[in-house]
Amino acid sequence: MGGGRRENQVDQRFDQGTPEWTGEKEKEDCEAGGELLASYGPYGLWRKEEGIELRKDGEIIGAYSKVVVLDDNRALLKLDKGMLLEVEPEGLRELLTKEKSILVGLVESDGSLTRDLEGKHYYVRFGSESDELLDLFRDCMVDTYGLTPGKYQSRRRKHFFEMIKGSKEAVEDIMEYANKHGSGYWEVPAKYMDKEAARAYLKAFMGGDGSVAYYPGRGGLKVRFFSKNREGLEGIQDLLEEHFDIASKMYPRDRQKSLESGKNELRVCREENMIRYITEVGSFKKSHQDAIERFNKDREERFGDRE
Amino acid sequence: MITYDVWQEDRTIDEAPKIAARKARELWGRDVSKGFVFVSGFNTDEIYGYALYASCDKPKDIGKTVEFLVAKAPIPIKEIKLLLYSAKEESPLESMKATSSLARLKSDLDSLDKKVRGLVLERLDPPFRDKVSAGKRLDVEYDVGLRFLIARHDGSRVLLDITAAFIQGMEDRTITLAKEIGEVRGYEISTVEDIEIDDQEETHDAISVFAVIIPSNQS
Repeated sequence: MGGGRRENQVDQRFDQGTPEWTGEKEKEDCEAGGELLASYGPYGLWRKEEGIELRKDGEIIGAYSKVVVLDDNRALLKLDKGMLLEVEPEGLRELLTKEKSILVGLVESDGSLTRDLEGKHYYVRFGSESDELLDLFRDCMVDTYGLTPGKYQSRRRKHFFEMIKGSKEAVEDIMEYANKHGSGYWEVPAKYMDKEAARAYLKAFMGGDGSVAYYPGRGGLKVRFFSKNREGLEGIQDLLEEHFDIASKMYPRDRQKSLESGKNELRVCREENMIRYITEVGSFKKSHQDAIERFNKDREERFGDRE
Repeated sequence: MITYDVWQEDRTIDEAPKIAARKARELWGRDVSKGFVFVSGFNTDEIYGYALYASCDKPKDIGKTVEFLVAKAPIPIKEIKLLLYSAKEESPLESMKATSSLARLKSDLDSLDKKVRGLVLERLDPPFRDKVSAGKRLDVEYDVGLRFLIARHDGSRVLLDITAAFIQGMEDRTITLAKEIGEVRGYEISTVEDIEIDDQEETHDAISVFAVIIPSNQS
């Protein structure tokens, strides 16, 4: 992320005690009490003893426990259940945290949300053979909901594990953003994503239902996403384009007249886009990271040879 | 044909055999005389989608067949279905005419690749074709369909249908996968009537093309 944004910037500012004051702001400080941290158009962020106050045109419109990001263009305030409130001169909007974006990406690829008709059982699940993805799912569940999922080994697949947590709150909350039904339908919660959230989501979905592969000498680098859900993949396509200027193309696999038809493949096309993908986005899956490393090593050697 | 969705990532996969067995008992009857368990998914590391299609003559075998396929199918499995047919309906397994010996698979794939590359060269934009003629490598990416007819130890049959990116060594990997399921009795691969060039570009060391196969039997 560019633009001088940094984590814990607020704490540093408090230590330094150096917000950029104008005479008018100092006057407001005296009148309202507290310390003006920053202003964005009609919005002002005030540090109070009990937390952070958000005011619009001087009127208090909310109180928050923490400022997560504070820069010249915007601030991010911490909400509960893995959400942030973005404050910009143009307005306010809710955003997913990086951890919640990962959670949604993992659930939409290799996970599920179970809600039975009687409303008695609610489960969030994620299944994988990759330890790093299972650990990531657990960490993001803890970060977002304070819930630790259990890890269960499949009776029939020795290397396959499922992380499962029974929680009505978590299921309903993820459902609100993912709109996931079985494996057949889900949505990319793009309107709740900034670039950082989009990157986290793509890396997670790629880990579950994507492929970064490198075949030196034949085919080279390949970056693809798979799903039955064409609309979902179109959402990923838009995300790649909007935040990373990465072009991709939809490829329906049923053109092969295969029994496994009905699946779609989103291919990142052209080498420049694939390189941009592995440089700016990547994957949480170890085998994908290994492929990227092999590609980069070969590429360095190639350019080294040229020089 | 009756189709029943047994499992779709919406519950733990270990429950799938029980669900399938219960539904098979319920639906098997006058108009249903043969059943198939359908499992599909894709292997994202080696870039192939697959469908496994296993026959069951009796409803009591359905649960064990689901268990078997769940144990053998590549991860991630995306769906499990029960397909029930009447006696007069022909299933994809019955319509398959795979008789070739596995020893010929590599040469069949090489022939297919040669044909695809020839068609790509014909349809390539002239500036790219000139560069290939001048010695630049032609790098063609396309997906190929393979079907393996497999016999299990109990005499039941399984059809393994794979759509894979054509990459070196793919015949070995797919044969290994098929042999894990049972004894391979034969195979079919994509037939090529023509190709469509979906994308073409010049990279540092090759003319890189993504092509789509148009099968011979496609109207």
